[in-house]
Amino acid sequence: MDNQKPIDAFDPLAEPMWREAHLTRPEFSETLHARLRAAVPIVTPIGPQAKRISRRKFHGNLSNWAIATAAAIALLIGSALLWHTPGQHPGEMIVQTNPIEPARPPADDLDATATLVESTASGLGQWMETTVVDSQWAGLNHDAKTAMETVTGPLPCDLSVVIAATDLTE
Amino acid sequence: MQTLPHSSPSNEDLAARAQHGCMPSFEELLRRFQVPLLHFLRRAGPEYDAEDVLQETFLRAYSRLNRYRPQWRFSTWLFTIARRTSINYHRRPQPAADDDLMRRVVSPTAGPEQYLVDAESRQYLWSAAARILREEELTALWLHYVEAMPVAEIAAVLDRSSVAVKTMMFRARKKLLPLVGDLEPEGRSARPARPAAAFHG
Repeated sequence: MDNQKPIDAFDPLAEPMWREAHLTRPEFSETLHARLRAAVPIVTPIGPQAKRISRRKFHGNLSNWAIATAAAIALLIGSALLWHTPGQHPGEMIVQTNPIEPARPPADDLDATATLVESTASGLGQWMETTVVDSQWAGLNHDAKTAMETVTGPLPCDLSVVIAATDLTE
Repeated sequence: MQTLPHSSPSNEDLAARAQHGCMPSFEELLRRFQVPLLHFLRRAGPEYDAEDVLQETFLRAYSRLNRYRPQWRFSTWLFTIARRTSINYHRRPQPAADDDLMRRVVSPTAGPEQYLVDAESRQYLWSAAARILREEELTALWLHYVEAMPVAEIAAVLDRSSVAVKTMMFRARKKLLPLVGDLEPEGRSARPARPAAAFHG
């Protein structure tokens, strides 16, 4: 740390201010140092350890949040899939995927639930493919064509034909 | 005061080591900054409070050591904590720049008693500054004149822009300049020689 006297020939305050402060500068105190050294580890945990603890806690919470978020998304998408499958009434869909069956032992119920989860997952993938992905690409295709028309519109006819012939949507 | 026998590591190196659990490094920082911080904390507050504030400052610095970044100057970071700790500790209202008060302070008719009291305390200018200036102005002048801190670092301590700090210091100097003319009593008229070596922190 720099404790050099500030050198400023154009500031008449520099030297008197520094000189006054220097006259009242305290001396180093071992007693005070011992007090400070004793106070720091007693009251607070060591900084780096506290840092490590908070990191573990943070990562633990992060994984819990990730699992909860993934489960919520899966539920939402599954619900959306059941309600928005075209040509089928949600009730019929439910009946078809969950037929009323006679009471079974608990093990069979678990198998039925597993079957339902698998069918929902596969249906989810198909829904994503047909609805979300295709619509995105459809939007991109539309944007590309619009951009093409904007660029080629003012151009001379022969040049715009050459450019338009290049399929930019591939 | 004990010093490290070999090449002394920088404050930033010591802080980085302390972040990884090296207590002797933090202890060395306690040694290095005890005097400058204590001096800084006494600039405007009661002396009997300064040691308590100093302890609180180091406690906060240690508990927040994981937030320190080695690319910052450690002194700037520590003085920032010290200033905020002092403000919170005292919670005194910030005096507005009072021209009437300044005129009373610098008036030749103020009387010799007040001057003798301040001269006895050897802090005439700084005592006057504490009465006249706002806390920010006082802190800026202290960090500049006593700690030789660059304007950019003073701005970081005060959480202000460099331009604002320069303006602040210009106005503060303007308020104190009349005091310099009244400062020279008998026996103090000769300008003292510059110290041969800088005092240590």
